Amino acid sequence: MRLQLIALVIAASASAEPLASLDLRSGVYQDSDRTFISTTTVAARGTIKQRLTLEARYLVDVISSASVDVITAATGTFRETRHEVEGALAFHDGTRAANASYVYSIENDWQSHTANLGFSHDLAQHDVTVGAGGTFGYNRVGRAGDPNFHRTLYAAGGMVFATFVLTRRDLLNVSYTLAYLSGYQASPYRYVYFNEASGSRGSVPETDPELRGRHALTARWNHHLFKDSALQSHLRGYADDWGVLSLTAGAEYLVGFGQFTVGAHLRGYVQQHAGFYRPVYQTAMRYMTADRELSSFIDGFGGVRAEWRRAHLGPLAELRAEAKLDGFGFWFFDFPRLQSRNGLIVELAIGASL
Amino acid sequence: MKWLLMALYFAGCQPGLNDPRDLPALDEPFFRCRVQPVIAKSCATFTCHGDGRRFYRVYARNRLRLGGDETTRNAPLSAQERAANFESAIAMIDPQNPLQSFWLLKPLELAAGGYYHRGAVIFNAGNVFHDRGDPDFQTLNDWVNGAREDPACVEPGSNQ
Repeated sequence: MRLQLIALVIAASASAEPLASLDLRSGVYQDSDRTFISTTTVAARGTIKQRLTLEARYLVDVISSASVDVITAATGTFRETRHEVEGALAFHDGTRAANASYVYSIENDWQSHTANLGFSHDLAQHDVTVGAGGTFGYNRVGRAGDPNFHRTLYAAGGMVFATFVLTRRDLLNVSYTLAYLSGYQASPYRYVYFNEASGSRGSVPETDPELRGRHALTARWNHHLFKDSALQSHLRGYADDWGVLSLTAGAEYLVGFGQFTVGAHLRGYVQQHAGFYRPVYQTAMRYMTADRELSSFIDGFGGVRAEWRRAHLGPLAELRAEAKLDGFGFWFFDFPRLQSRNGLIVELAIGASL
Repeated sequence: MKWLLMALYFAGCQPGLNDPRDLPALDEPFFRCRVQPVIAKSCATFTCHGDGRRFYRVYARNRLRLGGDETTRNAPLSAQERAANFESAIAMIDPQNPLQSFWLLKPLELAAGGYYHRGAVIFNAGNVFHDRGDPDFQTLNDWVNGAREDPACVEPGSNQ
């Protein structure tokens, strides 16, 4: 499922905003399942009034894949481009913050409109921040090369969070996210094998339930260490009414060296498959899927990043750059078409503020 | 954390996730005597759905067979092959919306309301059925619509 469907934009705590900023980020992804993705994002932000900022973002994904998910006897590699634009308006007055945004995304077989709203309020002399947000998305699902295949998917969600300054060195954030999806959630490209009563092998187009309720509870803890370093960790539990259960844990250790910050991070994920998922269907069932994201698997990500920031450089309030390298591996326990995949993600970013 | 996850799981897990598929009650004699000749003629060549690697495959005389060798490739379909063709077709019918099923609309030209069918592209010869008035398309459409045939009908080219 597309994560952007349930992405929530929550207003961040107020901080001194630059007059304008421009950021460019580009990354490439390559995995052993013959999938290559190039992503480039350009984001611009400007302060239009003292407490009001406007942000615009454009993202383009170029994907080419011959993954086991997409190849059949009739179809080999596919290549497609996704464009996404976002406009956001944010307000903050030092105690309260609010944010509204709209995201439009289009690719050859998918079109989506998503609206997000968020609000937060500082309490107890800024030692506590509470907030809530909501999202609603309308997605038009198509099929490549097919003007007659139309399905819809609605996504609505909400989030509440609280952030606590526990000590001078500890910050804790706890959030709960609920998302509800209604509509076509299968892939029009995937077919699922089953054993026919005749003893032959049959197949059916993938069929997922039309409704899905998703819950996630996340805790994030930032702990300042030594003179200029921090440990940022998170733990996330997830459950949905398809029977998927998962747990995510991750940590990043960041060290500052003047204008440079370097970090190393690790993240692990374990998932129990959806209730109707089967590696092999012995008979035709009401819901049948060949989606590896609904199977049982674990994954692990590990990497390093380096960031450079220089304030007051000529006319610029700040100039910054970042490089990031991640390696990852997925291990599928009950997905016969693929036992594992691994790969690399490389990202470079540069930005400036006035 | 584990107990919270379990509570969320049991509080919200939706019913029916493991129900059997509600297959449409379509007529086997109509399929055997009217539909099978159409799909054998139009769909079952080796480069199309007579390829055993395809998700949807069709057994037919002188085409894909379930066992045997070249000396028996032209033999009449066995009962198991007939049953497999019927089960494969019926499984491809959307129980909620039969007339929008891939099985029915993929071989129909896009301009006539069909779905994208790679077979229409790779051979550069148009789709199997150019319009809904094609008699063979009508046969498939009639079957999906619930048409029935005399159970004693004889499948053309069979050993019945």
